[in-house]
Amino acid sequence: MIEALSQVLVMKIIFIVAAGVLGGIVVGSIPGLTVTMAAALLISFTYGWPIVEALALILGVYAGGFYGGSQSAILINIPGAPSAIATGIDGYPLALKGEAGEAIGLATVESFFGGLIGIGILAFVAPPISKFALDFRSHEYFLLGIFGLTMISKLASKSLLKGIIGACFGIFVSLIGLDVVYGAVGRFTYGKTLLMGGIHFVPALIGLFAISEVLTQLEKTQSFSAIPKTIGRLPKLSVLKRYFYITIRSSLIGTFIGALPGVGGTISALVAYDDVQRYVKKPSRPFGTGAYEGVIAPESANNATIGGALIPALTLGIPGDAVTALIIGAFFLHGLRPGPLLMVRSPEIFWVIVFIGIISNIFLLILGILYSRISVYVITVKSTILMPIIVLICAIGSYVFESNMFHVQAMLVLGIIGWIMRKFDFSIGAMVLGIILGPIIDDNLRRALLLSHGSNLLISFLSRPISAVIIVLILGLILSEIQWVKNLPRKIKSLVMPK
Amino acid sequence: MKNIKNNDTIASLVVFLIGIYILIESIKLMDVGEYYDSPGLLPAIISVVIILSSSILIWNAIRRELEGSTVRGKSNHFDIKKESLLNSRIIMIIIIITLYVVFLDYTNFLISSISFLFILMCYLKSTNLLKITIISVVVPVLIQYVFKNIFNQIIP
Repeated sequence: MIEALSQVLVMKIIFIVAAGVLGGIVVGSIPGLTVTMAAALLISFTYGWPIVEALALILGVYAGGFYGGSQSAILINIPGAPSAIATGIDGYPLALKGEAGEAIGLATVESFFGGLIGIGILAFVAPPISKFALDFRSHEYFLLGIFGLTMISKLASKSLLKGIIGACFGIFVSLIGLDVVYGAVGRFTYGKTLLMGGIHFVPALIGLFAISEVLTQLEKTQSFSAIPKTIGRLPKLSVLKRYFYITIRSSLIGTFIGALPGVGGTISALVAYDDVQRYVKKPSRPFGTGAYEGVIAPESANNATIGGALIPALTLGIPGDAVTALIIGAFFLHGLRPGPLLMVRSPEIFWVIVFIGIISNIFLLILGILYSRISVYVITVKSTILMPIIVLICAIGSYVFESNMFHVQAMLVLGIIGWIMRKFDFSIGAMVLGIILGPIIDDNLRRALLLSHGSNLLISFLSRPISAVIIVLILGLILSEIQWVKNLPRKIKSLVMPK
Repeated sequence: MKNIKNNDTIASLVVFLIGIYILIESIKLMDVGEYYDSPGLLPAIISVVIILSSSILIWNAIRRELEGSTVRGKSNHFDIKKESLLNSRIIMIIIIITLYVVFLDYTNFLISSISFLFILMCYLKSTNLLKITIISVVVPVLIQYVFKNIFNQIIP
């Protein structure tokens, strides 16, 4: 832990974290630019950097981006990031009432507290989970991969089936190239040398997240009404004290939901907003008309999600959301493998992440308030100017890490595919997770089968208690989407207690 | 509204065909090694999942059409955006981006990027011609400088 602290408390790292947080706030606040897009680009740029510096920048952007969305949600009622959707419900009415400064101040402080609570829980919970996960073998890793994909398929798409299809497409893309077991066998390469190396996940992620977003944004036209200049004001201590319980409650919700593989800040913010509506009987104003509670709950929850999302990512190698999927990718690029062994082999990296998380939140508090002075000018930049520039950065981002034009072409093709998938509500998030988890699933499935020599596979899975539990969870997730199963409790109730 | 349903049915059908294609290719790979460590095993499994999932989507689409239920206000698989999939604007944008990627392979980064930004922003009518020209020149020069001198990266 001391070693990690000495690695982080260096001027250069602190500066990188601050730059990352500011960059994240700017990206998060601009509608159409997402933190996932920024993280995907940063992974390619920081490829040659030392791991601590790369993590400092990516985690800074992660924290800033989750918060930044609240500024545009409050000022123009367009969430800069999906995780700020719930913030706008009460934040924008507050701005209309002339309290935009107070709303931004509250959102900033609550994001700070939420972020710290999430990181705190990560620090306490991750080490024991890692110890527990040391017993995991191929069977469990294979099933965890499937569980993560099922979870994201269920939550990231309007239809479970479309989510599953997205995940399968992702796995398919990840399998293109030479087979790791039979090195000379190419899968879906058609004898093309370029495809032998496979489709690298960095250009794939840039294409799926960034190019598809650019195409989606450029399809529509946007206009902003005049926005008054706003300066974020820190809330009074008495206000923070009054709502302290909501902050804690929502942060815990955010951390818990963030820790579920495949679930992101959007869901946690919406759940926290729903929870506060049920829990608070007498809000400062009716919900939806500028209640402070309606800003506090989603903002503390969505930043707490970061700590939560890092728990499965660092302990099991299963991403909690799209950005942690990218962070896992960054680990692989730097020769590290996230999972239980990370804690054993490189424990300092875990603590580096915790300390960077704490520093990020401190900068978020300072820079969030300062940024509110200029955010009005930034968030109203036309997407028709911004998006062509993003294409330029995407092209460079896909090219630089291996100096290969094939990656730029792959990025474009996957970007167009991603855009079509968005049109038909097939889940991009599930596809990305499929690309990241595909090799892990493939490798562990074949290993598990090798161990059982291809026979008694089901018994070998069910005879392992953890595997059996994961199988039950996966089946539960799938069955809960079937209408007949959904109606079952009602049917049983009507049978037991007839009218 | 019928178009929306048809679009979704067609999309599911395309997905179904992709599933069939992956299955055929996977079966070819199953000849390598034992079935349980074959490189075709996982692709075969995912192809079956794709085929089954898309079949259910198609079946649901047909059933709904037969039942004559309305799409509006229902949470189902058919929440396709109402605008048509392709319009001339988006086709043109995709063509310009594709040309940029193609030219990037043959020309210098600065030349292709300046031309790309200028053409795309003019097409999108982003702002006035003077501003477009300034942005088109300044941004690629700045990006080249940052990547070459700060990130120490090789650019196309």
